[in-house]
Amino acid sequence: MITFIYSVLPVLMLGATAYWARGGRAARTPGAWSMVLFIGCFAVAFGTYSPLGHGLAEAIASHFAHVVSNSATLAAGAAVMSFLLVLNAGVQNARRRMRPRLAALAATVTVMVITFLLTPPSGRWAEDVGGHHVEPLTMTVYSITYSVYLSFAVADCLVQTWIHARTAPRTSLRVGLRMTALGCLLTLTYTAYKIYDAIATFTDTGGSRHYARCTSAITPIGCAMGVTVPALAVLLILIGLTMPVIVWKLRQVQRVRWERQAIEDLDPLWAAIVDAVPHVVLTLDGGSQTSDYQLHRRVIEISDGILSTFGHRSPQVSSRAKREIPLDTRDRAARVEAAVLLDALDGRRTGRPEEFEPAPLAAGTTERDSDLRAEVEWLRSVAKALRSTGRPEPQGSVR
Amino acid sequence: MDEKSLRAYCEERLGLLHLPHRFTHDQLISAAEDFIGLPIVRTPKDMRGQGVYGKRTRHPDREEIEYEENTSPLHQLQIIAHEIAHIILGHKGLEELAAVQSDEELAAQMDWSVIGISHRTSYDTDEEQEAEMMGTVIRNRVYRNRELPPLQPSAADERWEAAFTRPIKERRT
Repeated sequence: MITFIYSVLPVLMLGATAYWARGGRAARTPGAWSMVLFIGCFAVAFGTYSPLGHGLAEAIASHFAHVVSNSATLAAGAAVMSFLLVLNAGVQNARRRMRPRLAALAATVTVMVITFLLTPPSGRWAEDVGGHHVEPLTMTVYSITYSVYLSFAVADCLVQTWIHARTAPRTSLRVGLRMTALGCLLTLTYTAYKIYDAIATFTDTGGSRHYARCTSAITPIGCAMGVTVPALAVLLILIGLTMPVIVWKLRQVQRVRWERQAIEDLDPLWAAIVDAVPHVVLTLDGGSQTSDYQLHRRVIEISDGILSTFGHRSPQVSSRAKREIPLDTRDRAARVEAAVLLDALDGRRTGRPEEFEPAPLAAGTTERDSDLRAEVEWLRSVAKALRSTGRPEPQGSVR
Repeated sequence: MDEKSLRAYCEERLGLLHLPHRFTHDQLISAAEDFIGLPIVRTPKDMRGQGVYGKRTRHPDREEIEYEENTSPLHQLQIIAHEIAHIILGHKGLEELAAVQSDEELAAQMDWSVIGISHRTSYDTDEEQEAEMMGTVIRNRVYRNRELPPLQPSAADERWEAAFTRPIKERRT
């Protein structure tokens, strides 16, 4: 099962890399190339655990898969730094600020490779099979160098995400970035422990080559720090960076669905208005419309229609409707408006003379919020009231 | 001009105002003022029963917009956006003027400091169609951009937003 996961995961990650890399340059999101590098590096890191990747690396030198995995992890860390810098400081500034970070990465990997090569194969990540295990100095230097750069990368990410977590305009992004920052904090705890562990193992004053003897997720302490904390950190970072994207997409799907439903709900009202005052429609050939544009036009055309028939709004119909519709009815205003409007449209269509003193527009018309949603919700209630009158809908469409 | 071309033309003209991704009504007005180099005076008015819901009058030293005050705020903003569109698109509104000039009695009463008038009544002329399309594009952008990330993010906030939002393909009908 583990082999299967480590074989499939890199392939999935390479697929994600292609997803970020696809599309024209203009359509790419900011920092997309950094994200491509980030996921690609992690694909390489995980790939060394698969039989194929492990075999390839081990063919070069014993335990070389470990070096490849660690180097790819550090490169992924640098890619995340680059991604966050692009977002916070822009491409030009990010390039300038990334140069010393990349130089540090190159130096770190060089030290890691040299110390690895200087270590005899028997001393490289040798398993502790009972008793004490003293690590060669070269391996200690390797571990500390790796952990220090990783700490630096993670601390950088923590600062960058925390800065924006406080000011992000969307709630899901704020929550996601806080989760990511917490994940970074846990990773820092992990790297601090790694440094302590490397020194302790070298000096033979403790250390925890005990991962294989975990009795629970938090015991012994070496298990909690070496396995649970990093696993939790990765989980928090992954959820933190993925959740805002998913929430946003769900919100957009919901918005489009609401717009389409609103167009459908407003259709009888719009058709009745257009039947009486067709000039309110902006008719042009050769167009294709998104639901938001279409909904906006419907609302404006209905509003134009209501104003166009203002002179035919009968005060008698208004008074009668107010008398007939009980006061405690929730949608009373909408039902009164529907009755007055329906009569006004009939008056306009049949050429009835205009009223000397027309009935006023629905109460609260000028006090509604100026956004589309508020207007749609009001007109929807009028359309619903109109439908409940049982008036036959005009046949055909003007558009 | 067909709808697609007209929309593209209006989008292009609106781009000349260099508005931010999310802009307010006041930002639109001041961008239009900067664009034409004249102040734009807006006056709410009771225009019911006149068959006109918006009127733009060009003066040598200012642009004047009158709009129906007895309608919903969203509708008022659309009417103003329509009149702003006349201004941005450089419409002369001379048809009304020509009608006045041909009528001697009206011409005598005319305030000749006015150099052009446009009315939002129906969309049977090219200028009215263009202005209504542009007004719709403006208002639609206000609504849409509240939800969607900028295509060319400039500030840090915009870059963060764009990085975590991938536009979904919307079906056109």
